[in-house]
Amino acid sequence: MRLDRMRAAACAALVATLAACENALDVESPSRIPAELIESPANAALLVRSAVGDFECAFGAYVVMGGIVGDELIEATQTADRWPYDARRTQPNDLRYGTFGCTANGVYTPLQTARVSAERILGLLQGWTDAEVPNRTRLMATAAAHAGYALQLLGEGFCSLAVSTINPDRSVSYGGEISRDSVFRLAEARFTEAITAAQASGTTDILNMALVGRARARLYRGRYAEARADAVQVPSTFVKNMTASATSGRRENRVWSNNSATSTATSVGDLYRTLNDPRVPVTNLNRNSVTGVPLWRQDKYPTAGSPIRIASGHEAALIVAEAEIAAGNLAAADSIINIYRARGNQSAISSPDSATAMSYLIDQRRRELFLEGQHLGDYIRFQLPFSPAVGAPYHAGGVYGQQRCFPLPDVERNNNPNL
Amino acid sequence: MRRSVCLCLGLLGSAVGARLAAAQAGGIAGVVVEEIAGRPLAGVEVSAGGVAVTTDAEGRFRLEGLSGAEVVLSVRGVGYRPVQRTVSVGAVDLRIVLTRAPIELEAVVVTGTPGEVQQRQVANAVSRISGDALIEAPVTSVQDVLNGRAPSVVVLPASGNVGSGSRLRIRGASSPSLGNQPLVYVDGVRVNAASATGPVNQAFGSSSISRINDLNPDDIESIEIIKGPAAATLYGTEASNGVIQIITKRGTRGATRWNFTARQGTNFFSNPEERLWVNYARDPGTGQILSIDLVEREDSLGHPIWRNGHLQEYDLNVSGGSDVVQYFLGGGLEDNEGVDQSNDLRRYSVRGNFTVRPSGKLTTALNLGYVTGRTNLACEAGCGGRVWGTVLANPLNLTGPNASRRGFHSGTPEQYDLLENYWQDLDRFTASLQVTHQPTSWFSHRLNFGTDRTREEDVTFTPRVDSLINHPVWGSQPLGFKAVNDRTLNVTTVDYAATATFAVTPQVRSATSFGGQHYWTRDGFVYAQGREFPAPGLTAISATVRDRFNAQDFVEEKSLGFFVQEQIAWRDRVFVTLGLRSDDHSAFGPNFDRAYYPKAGVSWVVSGEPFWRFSWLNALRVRAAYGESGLQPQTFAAIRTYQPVTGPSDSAAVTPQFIGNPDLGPERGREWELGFEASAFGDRVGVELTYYNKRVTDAILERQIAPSVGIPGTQFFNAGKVANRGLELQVRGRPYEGQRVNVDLTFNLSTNSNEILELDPRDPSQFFTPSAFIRHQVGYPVGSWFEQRVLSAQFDTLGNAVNVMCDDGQGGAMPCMGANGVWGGGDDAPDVYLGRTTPKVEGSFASTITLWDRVRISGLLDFKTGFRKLDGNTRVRCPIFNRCRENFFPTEFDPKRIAGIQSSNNLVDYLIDDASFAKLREVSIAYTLPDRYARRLSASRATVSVAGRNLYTWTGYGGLEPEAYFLGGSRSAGFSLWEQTTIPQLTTWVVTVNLAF
Repeated sequence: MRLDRMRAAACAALVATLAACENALDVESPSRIPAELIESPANAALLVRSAVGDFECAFGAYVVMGGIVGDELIEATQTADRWPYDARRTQPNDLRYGTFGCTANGVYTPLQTARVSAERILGLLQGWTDAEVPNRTRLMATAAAHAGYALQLLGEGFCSLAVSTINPDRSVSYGGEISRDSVFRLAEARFTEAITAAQASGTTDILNMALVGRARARLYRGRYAEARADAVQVPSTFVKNMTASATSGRRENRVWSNNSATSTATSVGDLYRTLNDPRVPVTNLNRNSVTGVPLWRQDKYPTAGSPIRIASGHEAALIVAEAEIAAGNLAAADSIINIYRARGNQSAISSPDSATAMSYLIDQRRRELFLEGQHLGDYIRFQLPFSPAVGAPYHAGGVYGQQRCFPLPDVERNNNPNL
Repeated sequence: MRRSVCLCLGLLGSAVGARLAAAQAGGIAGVVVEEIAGRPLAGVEVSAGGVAVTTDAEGRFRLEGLSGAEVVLSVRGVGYRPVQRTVSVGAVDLRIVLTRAPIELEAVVVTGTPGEVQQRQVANAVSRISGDALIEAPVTSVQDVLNGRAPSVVVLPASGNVGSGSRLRIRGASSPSLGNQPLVYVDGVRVNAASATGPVNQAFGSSSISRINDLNPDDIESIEIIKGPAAATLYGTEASNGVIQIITKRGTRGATRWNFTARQGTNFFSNPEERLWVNYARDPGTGQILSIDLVEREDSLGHPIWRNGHLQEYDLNVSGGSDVVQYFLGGGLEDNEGVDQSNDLRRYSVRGNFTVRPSGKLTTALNLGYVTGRTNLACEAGCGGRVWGTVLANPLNLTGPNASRRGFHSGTPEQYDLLENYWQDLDRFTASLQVTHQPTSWFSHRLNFGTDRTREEDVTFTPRVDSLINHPVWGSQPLGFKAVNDRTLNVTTVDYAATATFAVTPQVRSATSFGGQHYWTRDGFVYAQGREFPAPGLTAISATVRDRFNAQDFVEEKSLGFFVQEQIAWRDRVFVTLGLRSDDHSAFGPNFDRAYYPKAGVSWVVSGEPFWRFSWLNALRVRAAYGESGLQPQTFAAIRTYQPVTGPSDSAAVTPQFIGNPDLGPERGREWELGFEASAFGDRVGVELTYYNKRVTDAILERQIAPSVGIPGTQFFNAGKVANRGLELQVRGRPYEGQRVNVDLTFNLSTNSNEILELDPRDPSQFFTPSAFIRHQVGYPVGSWFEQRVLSAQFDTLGNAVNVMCDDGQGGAMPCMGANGVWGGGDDAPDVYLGRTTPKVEGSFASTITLWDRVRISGLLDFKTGFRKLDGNTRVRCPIFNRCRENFFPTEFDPKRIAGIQSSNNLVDYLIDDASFAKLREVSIAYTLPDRYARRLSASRATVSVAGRNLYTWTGYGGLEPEAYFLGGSRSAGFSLWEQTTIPQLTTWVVTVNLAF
């Protein structure tokens, strides 16, 4: 009898223990969101907004790093892992441009994340219905346009690329190494999707953004007439900005974070210090950095919340001018160029030949689009002269190299089975 | 006065009376003490002439009713060598000194077992460190205690900053992607033993404080260490790296006893003049090559770069109790200054341990520990600071526009002291309640409940200093900055175990145990920062005007496990143990069920067998054990997640965070070990030898996600296999024993062979890279150095290294840059294996010479070999800042080295240097004062010692210090040993006075 009681008590204790065990391993997760909870039609607008946010942060970092490689900025810190970009000696195993996040001036990973975030929600939106997602087509336009811009920047800045995709069943299809031209093709396709969706939904700003983007992609592919056809559709007053704010580090204008009244991580490049152009506002700080770099401050972005242009009517006009030069219409090109020279208090010009016209155009592009993530692409596309020259002593040791584009980083090569 | 005289006469009379009484009755009396510090030993069996007693709490004994003029006195204590001595009947002031036995088969072990058992029953090796040894040793932290005192327990100190920590490894590294730190328990409660916490004073994300050092060494009774899955099965998931159990001091029944220890000493940077380098630079105006020896220069100017830090510690404890209640109360103050003006540690600790035995069946033990204090850390390594400024000293900074730098590379020491402030305020409370109930003679069970609550306030602070704003070195930093990370980590332990024993036959006994453990860890933080104070003197984040940022989060993890164990004992000489544990953990993937870990072991005390005839071999035990345990993945590693971020126009948004892996389970460590312990020649020599073979399967690997997938970060997955094998040897002996002089020697040696057997089978490269220059590659040790190896080079007429040939990975040579002559062009020479990051062989040699039972001269020399470190000092001096002699006079050096220096950091093998070293770690001389002198201090005993630490290093390592590196952050990744302008290990001299009342 007593044994029975003991057994009963033991069983009760065991049941109670097991019941308690059911919840014994439950843990709270106050800041992490399981993907299956958020990837739903109800969150479509949030996910599109998030993809735009990923792009904005990546874009800011690209503007800085592209500016350092392309000589708009000069590295002024004593942090050695930032020097290779300035010295044009970037190696595939350099971590900063390859794996770092956007707030630490990473480029490759943030831009790829921005691309996939946009493409991921674009794919989901394509699988959902208008009934499930209000403004679905407009959201698709936004996602496609930002996917296109992420691809465009990757194509401009990198020597080659891999483009992988996450399939609907969440498996991964790894992409092989593709050329810059192939990337521009992909970008163009995304912009076309965006244009179609924006036209269908009447989303003007995305339409113009995508038109400028497609024109830019076509420019890089040498398809000037088609580029012109897109660019002329864009109003001269159009501006699409990357928004910024002082709310968090991720939202700061990244140029401001690296060069401003409170940051001397970089200085302004030699070619931009004495232009006396209101589009290139700079200030001589009259002192050197710890590594001996004369410090100049850019004043284009005076606050953490200063926006950066992603696309604009001015860029579209300069694309038109470039297309006119390519078509041999120098007078038409000069008329556009002179509009921009006037903006910089420069006298009007008349180009005697295409090469001269191109030099005027390139000069206007570097002024008008100063620190907007355009110059690295120009630097590579036009094979602009190295300044300082290859082999010249680098202020922090060694000499300047000749690496213009970012090599496909080891982090991709080592972890992508198709490379 | 009259009253005092009477009292003295009374005491004298009593003493004389007792002496006469003992003599007349044929008695003897005395005290039994431990050799080290003369600590009295309670519970020691003393016998003579057929009469036996045990010593009381004061170590005293009295034997009555003896006959004859002399008797043979026999003294036996568990864990000590027995003593036999012929004494005169009537002697009442005998002082018997016991020394530790070379092996301790009867010692009680509580780690890795369901309850208290004798070591003879345990089938695996258990290393024990006695707290007694610490009284006279120059140790100020638990890592000092562990270093060199137990085979296979590798302590790798990271910095000479006072209050900084170390990396701990037991039997090598087994996990490529998870932590390799052992679990740490204090009195049966799991505690926070994180190795790199605190403000990021080394930059690159590296913090340098280790939580294991929070415990006051003066509170330690002993430390037990079990080293791998074979022993740690009962600890289940998380225990694969071994377990360190710290047992704190307890009271024993008897009169109240006070113990006071005071230490005074100094810390200093030994011989910086010889250890730091002369730097060079070319005058841009004249072309002249200038040099600077900054250490000597600053010395000559009367302001040495580093100070001698003052060390002082005071510990007071009281213990005692009755049969029912025993207590131990202790408190300590540690005030320790580093060599950097901004580095010091001030810490207060208190401990209260109480044991209540209301009946013979019930014992309740309550252990409470609290520590609080502040550690100020100097800026070092990537942060800058004195070593940075000196290692990179620049002769061009002696004159001209940079003359105010006085030759330092960037800021002067005073500027760093002013602007770079890092500190951690600590409040830590550890409590455990253990209830042991033995309702019947055959059944006992215990419930252990405990919590360890750590609160750190990690602060980074730069005041506003108007005079330095826009200074070339400091830029806008002197506008001010403050960041506070208030972190709270709670670890809760609930541990139940029960054991039923019964005699199967008169010769066979069974012990059946079962139980379960629940661990709950919650790690939370509140962070805030702000930049720019509008005026000097402001110190609060609320007083900053921009870049305000805050965050708050916490992470939880829980585990629940059960075990059952059966031990069969045959004639108390052969012990066979079988066990099984099952675990579930909150971090396991949804597709993974529970983990099961078996264990088995046998222990045979061969010398207890009737057939044993080897009188010279006093004891021999052989043992074999097999066991499994695990290592859980990181919290949330199993699920794909997004994290909230601020989106466009400051709207709410999310961003991909982790890709997750729903199939993720724990790493599984399987280990078997064989060994024996033997003592010989009258217990004068003891040998303990263990061979272990550990294999980790389902090793959790962390693969970087190809960024083109679009989800940043890494993914954990089970795929790898890692093998660890090695030998552990400990030899203790007393090669010379005389009336007045004894010599004791201890030699520890352990080897570790480590190899990755398998990685992700889908990955054809069969390696991955957790951090710069480090690779996990099949066929090589976990976390090995891999880089291009230069085989040959020549000089051209200008001193440039040319024809630089590298190892082609196939036994031949090829141009390091490949045929195209461009770095990174796709045909560079491959990275090849350069060496390990964990020592392959480590050991120690300790000796103690005892004179007249009162003077002890001790020394400890430890060594580590077979590993390499990255000499980041040379990296920043030579190829980056061009301050080396090699930069200006290259032909004086090996062209291979110059090839590296001239390669713009593409060739780094010359920096990855053999870091083997031997260090004269401790030297001490201690004197236990005769009792009459102790009494003058109103003490029952008194010991004075002088001890030194880190006195001399033998090494061929080219850097500044083989024991210095980034403890955490991106330059550590748990494996890398990357030294860069880190404060070296300090030399310490300390005088200790220990008084017992």
